[in-house]
Amino acid sequence: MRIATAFAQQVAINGITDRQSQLLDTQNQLSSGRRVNSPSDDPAAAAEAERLRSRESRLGSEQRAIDQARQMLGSADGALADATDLMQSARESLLAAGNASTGPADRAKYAEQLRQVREQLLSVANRTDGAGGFVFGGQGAVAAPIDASGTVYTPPAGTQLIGQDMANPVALDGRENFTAIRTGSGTESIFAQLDAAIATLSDTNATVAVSTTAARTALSAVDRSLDRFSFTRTMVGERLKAIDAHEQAVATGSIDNQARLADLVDVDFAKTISAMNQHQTALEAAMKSYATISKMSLFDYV
Amino acid sequence: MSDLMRIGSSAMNAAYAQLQTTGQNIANASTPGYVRREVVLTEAGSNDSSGYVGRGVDVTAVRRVYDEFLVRESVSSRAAAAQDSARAESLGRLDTLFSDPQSGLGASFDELVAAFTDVTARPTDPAARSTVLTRAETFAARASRLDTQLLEMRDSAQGRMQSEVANANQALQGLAAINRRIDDASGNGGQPNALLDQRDKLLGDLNASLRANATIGSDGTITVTSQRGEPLVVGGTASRLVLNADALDPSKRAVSVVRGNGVTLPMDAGQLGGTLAGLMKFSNDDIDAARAQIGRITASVSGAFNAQQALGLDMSGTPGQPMFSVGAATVSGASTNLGTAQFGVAVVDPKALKASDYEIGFDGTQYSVTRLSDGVVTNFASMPQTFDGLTLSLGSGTPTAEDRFLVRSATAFASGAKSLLTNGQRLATAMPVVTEPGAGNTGDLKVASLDIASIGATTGATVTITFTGPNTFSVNGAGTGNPSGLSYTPGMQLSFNGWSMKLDGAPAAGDTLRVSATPNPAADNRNARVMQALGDGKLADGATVIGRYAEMIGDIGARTQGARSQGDMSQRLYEDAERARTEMSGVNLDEEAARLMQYQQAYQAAAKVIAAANEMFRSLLEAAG
Repeated sequence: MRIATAFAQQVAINGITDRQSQLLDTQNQLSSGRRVNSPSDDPAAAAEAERLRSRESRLGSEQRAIDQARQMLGSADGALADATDLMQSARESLLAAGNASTGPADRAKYAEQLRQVREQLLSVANRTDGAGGFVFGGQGAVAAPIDASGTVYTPPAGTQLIGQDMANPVALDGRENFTAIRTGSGTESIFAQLDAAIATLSDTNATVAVSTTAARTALSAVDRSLDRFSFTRTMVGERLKAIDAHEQAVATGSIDNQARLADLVDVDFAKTISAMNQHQTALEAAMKSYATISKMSLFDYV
Repeated sequence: MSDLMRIGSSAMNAAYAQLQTTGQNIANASTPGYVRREVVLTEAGSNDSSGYVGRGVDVTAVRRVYDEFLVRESVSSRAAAAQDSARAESLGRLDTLFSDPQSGLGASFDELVAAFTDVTARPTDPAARSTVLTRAETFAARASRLDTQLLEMRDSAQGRMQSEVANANQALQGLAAINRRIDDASGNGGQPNALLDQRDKLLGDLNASLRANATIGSDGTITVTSQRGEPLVVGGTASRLVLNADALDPSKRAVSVVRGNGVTLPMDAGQLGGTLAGLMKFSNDDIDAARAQIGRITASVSGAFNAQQALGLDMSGTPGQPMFSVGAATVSGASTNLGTAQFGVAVVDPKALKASDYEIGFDGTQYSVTRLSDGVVTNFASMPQTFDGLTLSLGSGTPTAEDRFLVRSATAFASGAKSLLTNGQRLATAMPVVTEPGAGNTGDLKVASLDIASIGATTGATVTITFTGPNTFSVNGAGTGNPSGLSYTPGMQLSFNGWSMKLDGAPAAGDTLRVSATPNPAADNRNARVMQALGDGKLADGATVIGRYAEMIGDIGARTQGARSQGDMSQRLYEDAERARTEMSGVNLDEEAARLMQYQQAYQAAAKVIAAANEMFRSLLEAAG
């Protein structure tokens, strides 16, 4: 079998350049740390990597929503704690004012205390959430949700939610918590109830009987509001626990994503380094054999 | 004596010719296309009566050592290798364009979706709103930039095709010239070996550009035809190849043959072969496949967000304006059309769009619409027709049979992609209505979900639902017709005025539910949440945007991988064919070295024969006195 000299040379040179290019490929993989540097390296892995990247983005958004909901619910819990404290103090004032032995001047003093509590309660109910909204903003408020009379709740009643995989509230309902608290037979506004008591107790001409009744009525309303706040606070607490659990799931999901992504596209260093050594050896062999064989010529002996 | 002299001198001639030929072989050992020569010797016989001794040796010819079949194999496998290598290399560049997932169109879409998280948490925050619009702009810009890059790749491939055509024409001219010279030379007798080598080399070079078949005449001239039979070189005349705009789609290229007599024949793209075929497949098919996929994704995103904007209210309470616009779909007629028909096309359902352009044909009675991505043909008897989310209509004129039209839809969308909103206040984050259960409800009636189908004049009208019993209710409000005595089942849908809500729970008699116009759209986030959910919605023909994008990545990767392995294989086949050809025709320097010694010896021996004849003659002369 004949071999043309020029052809044999070309084949040997091609062999060297092929091995050089193989070596370059493995070097590239090692320096980038990725086995899949472009879709053609592994089309199925590249497509799956894109889907994983997207899932990671979704989880990031979910975590952000979790953070925001947790912050808001924290504010809500704080507001409810403050409202509870205020109602406890209102309770004491009303108990004292409703005592038959309390005189009109003292009753007026308690009425003043109640007035201040009532004012502070209104500002708690209208508290902003520090992010342009209101803690008790319902389905969306652009101004303080409850008016000065404490009986009109302006925004649509309900809660505002965020989050895709899990929906969490970022605003609570001021109507069911303040302006229309359920009684056994309808609803009442805690502010209206307090205002009624304040009016009667401030009136120095009111009789003891009337004052006592007024105080007792208001006390029942205050107790109902305390129940209401407690109920809402429990709900907020449950929510926060559920959010913690969801956050765990999101974090686990993210770790899984990263692991799968690494499996798919990251380079297996051990395997690739050994491949690079192989290619290096092959290249050396090709070069050495070319050098040796190309020196051999009959013309040296003729 | 003279016979011996003659024998000796003929032997010297022969040995000298062999030495020269060996020298020629050694000199041209690395000349591309050189076929080794050998001297053909025949015994010079005699017919005299003195025993048929012979009269020496004749140099009959200097022969090229080659096999036509091996040449043909090498040439055809070279065309295949060139075709596959051109396509693989071009696809490699397309492949690299998608190598970084973080800077891709999918990532840009996800960033747009992610921006809604802050808007849903803080609808009144202008920074949150404007981030959404910035991300929308980035998405549109990335889509149109990608399309531009793909078009640049196509332009570059078409530029290379132009120079390949020039190379091919040069080879054809060269072959015609060779034919003329061979013709002249063979008139003088003998084989013009160098010309024949040149002929075969040009044929090989031609095949690198496009596949050409050749027939060698008995005189050594070559007749070259394309694979389908168009004549390229006949005798001393070469046809000219021309790259011109495709009749149906002027942005694509097609090759034609212009014969010596001026007749132009279009060449079939599928039968071109060579680098031209590889580049043509890339620039006509592969690029458009990618552009169509990018365009479809862009149109799906645009359609979905625009539709959702229209179902919501912006900060001032006005229904949302479109967020995106995309390039318009158009229909154009082929340059070969004879009729006057003008078609119009419009997108009617972005969710149903396919990643493809279309070709419309007319056979005289009915229309055929071919989806270019998969070749599926649908026939229609008349226009207008709606298919794949598009409505096609005959605007004016009438088509003639055999007329063809190109519907540029998917490939048109991305290049014109634009983001339209600049003011965050125009983002329609709010739903047009709110639902509120009565404050004093004793049952647990609730609205499980609320969807908006359209915003009309009565959408914001207050509608009150009153339960007369646990399972009956009446409705009161503009646009409802005020029905009463309706029966309630938990989970039922109730729709009026463009909204639809799902009721659930167990209402008590006297419970109410009120639907009314959203009072503070600036602070409402419900439509923004729906827009965020579009990230996982089936916006693109039954699949998610990311699903389609990932599919496209895999497709491009597979195409490139396939082209590369095909290229490797055809390169190996070419190398094998060359090995076989050079095995016969290539120069081996060691072999020539050995022959050099052999012929030197023969020359010396022949010289000795002459010396001997000379000696004998002198002896004769001396003897004769």
